[in-house]
Amino acid sequence: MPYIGGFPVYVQKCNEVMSGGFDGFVLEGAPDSNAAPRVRYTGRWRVPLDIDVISPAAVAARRVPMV
Amino acid sequence: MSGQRLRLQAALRRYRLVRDLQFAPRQAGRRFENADRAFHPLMASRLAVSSTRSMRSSAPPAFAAMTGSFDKIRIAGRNGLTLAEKWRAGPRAYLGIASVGFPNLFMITGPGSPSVLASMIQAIEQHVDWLADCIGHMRDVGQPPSSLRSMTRTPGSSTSTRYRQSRCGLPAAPGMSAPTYPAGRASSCPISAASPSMCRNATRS
Repeated sequence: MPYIGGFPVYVQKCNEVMSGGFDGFVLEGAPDSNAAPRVRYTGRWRVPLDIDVISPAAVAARRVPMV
Repeated sequence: MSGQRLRLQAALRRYRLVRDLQFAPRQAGRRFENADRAFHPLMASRLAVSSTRSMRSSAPPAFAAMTGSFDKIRIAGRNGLTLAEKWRAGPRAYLGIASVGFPNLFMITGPGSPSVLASMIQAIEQHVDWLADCIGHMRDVGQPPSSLRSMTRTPGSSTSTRYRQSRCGLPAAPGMSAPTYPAGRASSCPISAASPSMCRNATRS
């Protein structure tokens, strides 16, 4: 069941999850804080979206051709 | 007809389109009960594709392409539940990386990630980098990988379970204190900003 939203959007969401202290994950016994983790390897994926991705907002605005 | 449209039509003809049902309920405060599916509003469309060449008679055809490699391994989670049993009605994963009830299990380009709809090499690299950072973070906070619970659980099921607020503005789970974000990191969801009605989380804020 692949994610059809597009790879850039997915990467952005992964970055958001990580920047929020790995939202959704629970590290048992870890200090109760949402401190942002230190970015090691995902730095190269942290680029702003500069393309018109397929999103619900884009579809609603009819900027995506529907077939 | 534009070349882009032709390519899209060709892609659709190569794959079987399947619409999934029973998406996560929209009631406020229930986000984390369905953490596997609480990914992004785009997931609400729940369109799944699978290659017909990957179909197996013993598994639902719609999911075989994504879960076949996992079904071949007996992966047991909490209470002895196997991943194949949990995914009998369809795969449920968080970011395509982890699944509730299976701590310490990371998937590379699992169900719910772009996987075959993107360049696989890039998708794999991004997942590996992300997981390496996740494991590094666990090491930083002094927790070995074995302490990863993998996902949040039903609110109230354990006092030691912590919940984190969605960046889209979803309120914290009942009884849980509102988390705080470092300054400058509390940006809103781009979908919510562009079209609040399209954002599943924005409707509940």
